Order: sequence, then C-alpha cells, then structure tokens
Amino acid sequence: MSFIIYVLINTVFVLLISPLLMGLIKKVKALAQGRRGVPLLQIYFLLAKLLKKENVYSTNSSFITRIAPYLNITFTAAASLFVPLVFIPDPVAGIGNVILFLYLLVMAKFFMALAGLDAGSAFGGMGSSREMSISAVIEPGVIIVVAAIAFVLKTYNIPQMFALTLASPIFNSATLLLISISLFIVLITETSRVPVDNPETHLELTMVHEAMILEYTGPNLALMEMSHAIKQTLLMGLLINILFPWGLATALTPGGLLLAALMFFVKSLVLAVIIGLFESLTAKWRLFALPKLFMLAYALAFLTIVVELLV
Amino acid sequence: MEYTASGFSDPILTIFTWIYRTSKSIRRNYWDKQSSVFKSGYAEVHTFNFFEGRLYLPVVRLVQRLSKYVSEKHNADLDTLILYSFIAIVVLLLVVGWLL
Repeated sequence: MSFIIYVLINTVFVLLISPLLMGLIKKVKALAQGRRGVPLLQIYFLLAKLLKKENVYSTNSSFITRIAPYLNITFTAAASLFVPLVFIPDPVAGIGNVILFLYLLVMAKFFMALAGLDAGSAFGGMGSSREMSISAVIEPGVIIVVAAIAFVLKTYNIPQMFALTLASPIFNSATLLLISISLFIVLITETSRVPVDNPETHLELTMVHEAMILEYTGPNLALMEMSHAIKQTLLMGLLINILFPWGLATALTPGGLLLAALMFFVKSLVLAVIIGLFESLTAKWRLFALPKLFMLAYALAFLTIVVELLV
Repeated sequence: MEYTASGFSDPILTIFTWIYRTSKSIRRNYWDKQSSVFKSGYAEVHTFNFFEGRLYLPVVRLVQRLSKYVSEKHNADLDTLILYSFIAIVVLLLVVGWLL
C-alpha cells in the first residue's frame, strides 16, 4: 500500500516540479546575461499550448517517429520511480537498482536518436550522430561514477543509498563530495547543457539535443520536452539526495511529506541557480574537446574508488 | 537529403582516432585549372581494425613463427631430427610416467 502511495506521490511531484526547474535555470541564465527573461512558469504555458496543437508528421517518417515520444516519456517516468524525491519507500523488488535506472535513461535516449534519424533530414541525423558519440564517451564515465557511489555506500539500490546518507548526521563520506563533481559533469552532459550542448538553440554549432527533436510539433514535442525535464530533475535529485538528503521523509505523514517536498524544492532551487550560473560562465566547447571534460569525470570517480579502497 | 552512415559515425571515429587510426583520403576533380569550380569528388575513410590488429593477428603471427621453427626442425639434417625425436620420446615417457 505504501508503495502505491509512493508511486503516486513521486510521479506527480516529478511531473509538477520538472518544468519549473527548467524555467528556473532559463531565468537564472537570463538574469546573468542582464536580460529579464521569460516568466518562471513559461514552460507550463508552452506545454499546455503544445498539447492543444495537432501532430504533424513528415511524409518520409515511419512508425518510429510516432512511437518515440511515448516510449521516451514511459522510460523516463519509469526511471522516476527509481529516485525518491520526497519519500523513501520500503525496499521493493525490482525498483531502485541504479544500473537499471541508467539503462532506462539510455533506452529513452536511444529512441530519441532513432527518431532524429527517422525523418531523413540531415539536421536530425547530425543531432543523433553527435548525441550517440557523446553518449559513447560519457557512458563509461557514468558507469564508473555509479560504481563509485555504490562502492562508497555499499549498495546498488538508490532508495537505500538515500536512506544511508539520510541516516548520517553530516556527509556520509568525504569521498561523496569528490564524486559529486563527477555527478555534476554527468548532469550537465546528460541534460545537454552549455559546455556540451546549448539547450536554447538548434544552430549548427550546438545541434545535439534540439536538432533531434526538430521534427516534432504539438503533443509529441510536449512529451519530448517533458521527458527531458524529468530526466534533468532525476539527475538533480540523485545529486541532491546523495549529498544533502536532509528533509527526506521516511514515514507517510502529511506534514513530513509537505516538509520533504518543500526541502527538495529549496535544494533543487539552489542547484538550479548553480547550474544556471555555471552555464553562464562557460562557453560552448568544441565537440572534439569534450572528451577532456569527460576524462575529468572518470578521473574523479576513479580517484574516489581508490581513496575508498585505501581508507 | 538523408544522413549517411559514414557521416553518422564520423564524430566517434574522430574522437577515437587513437584507437581506430582513422585515415581519410579525399580526391577532388575540378572543371578549371585554378581548381575553383568543383566537378566531382571521391572520399574514402579507412579505419584500423583494432581487435584484429591488436588481439588476433599477434597470436596468429606467434603461432606461425612457432610452426615455422618446428617445421625447420623437422626438415633439417638427420642429426637434428634424431635429437628432436629423442627429446619427443623422453617428454612422452615422462608424461606417461606422470600420468600412470
């Protein structure tokens, strides 16, 4: 019973907060550049507008273009069950494995890349090609980062990881601070943010994520945008709840849940501001210079494992 | 215009040049002598087959060198052949003795 409530609460919370975090990062970037920027709730209006429109398909596209948005939102929504944002449920078989979590996200990415290729436009193809290349380089890094976290906390289960970090009064382990830098790089890469990609445009220099979904309009685009926002919230949630899990509810009480939701909101606000500032302070890197950034993530994750082995 | 397979794989070949040893050759033909009006072109991308070149071929070469050495021993003069047979029999006896 508590698990069903967890599923409901977590999914609704993720769906509600994801567009807001997107909007917040946009706002921070705008303020950092001296602009007023769009209203915070603009993404909600955008999604509502897109949902009212009709889908338009290219005559060259196959069924992949039609099913990809639904698969994408399904995979990311399923992955959202793996990262408790407000309430840590009792362990349930099959939910929470960190490797499975990564695979769900990668499946979503895979279908997005296929959809980019599907319509046969050079733009989408280039986006898919770059996304897959970046994936091929960052994915081993992600695995090492996750392995390091699992090694430090001695569990593969994400809710259990959060429960462990929650139980300790300060940082569970200093090495977690080290791994958070790698996690931040993973977060930036997976959500197509500035040194890697620019979420604002789909110009030739940055066309990675935006180029892949260029063929979509209407509800399909809304689903794609939503799954991207959810993915970002999940990775932010992973980083936040491993470093600063305080406030997470472990029992089902309305007050505790409200407090946990509020705490997560505040913490994600801070992280969103950090991401926005980071994006404003860095320039887009050359595509072939990116492996250096990913090497940093590998190196720090590897260092974490070594330090943890020695201590 | 559809994105081609070589275009799709180009970034990854460029990133992993140190593994794939990517070599690209491009030939261009022009209509004029100043080579400003493009007529036709031909491009080739070759990659080094990493697993074949670094894993299988060294083993194959080692086996070939060994077999060449053994075959030389087989076909050399009578003394070497007798020595070779003698060693083979001793080894055989030792192995059989150890087994029983």
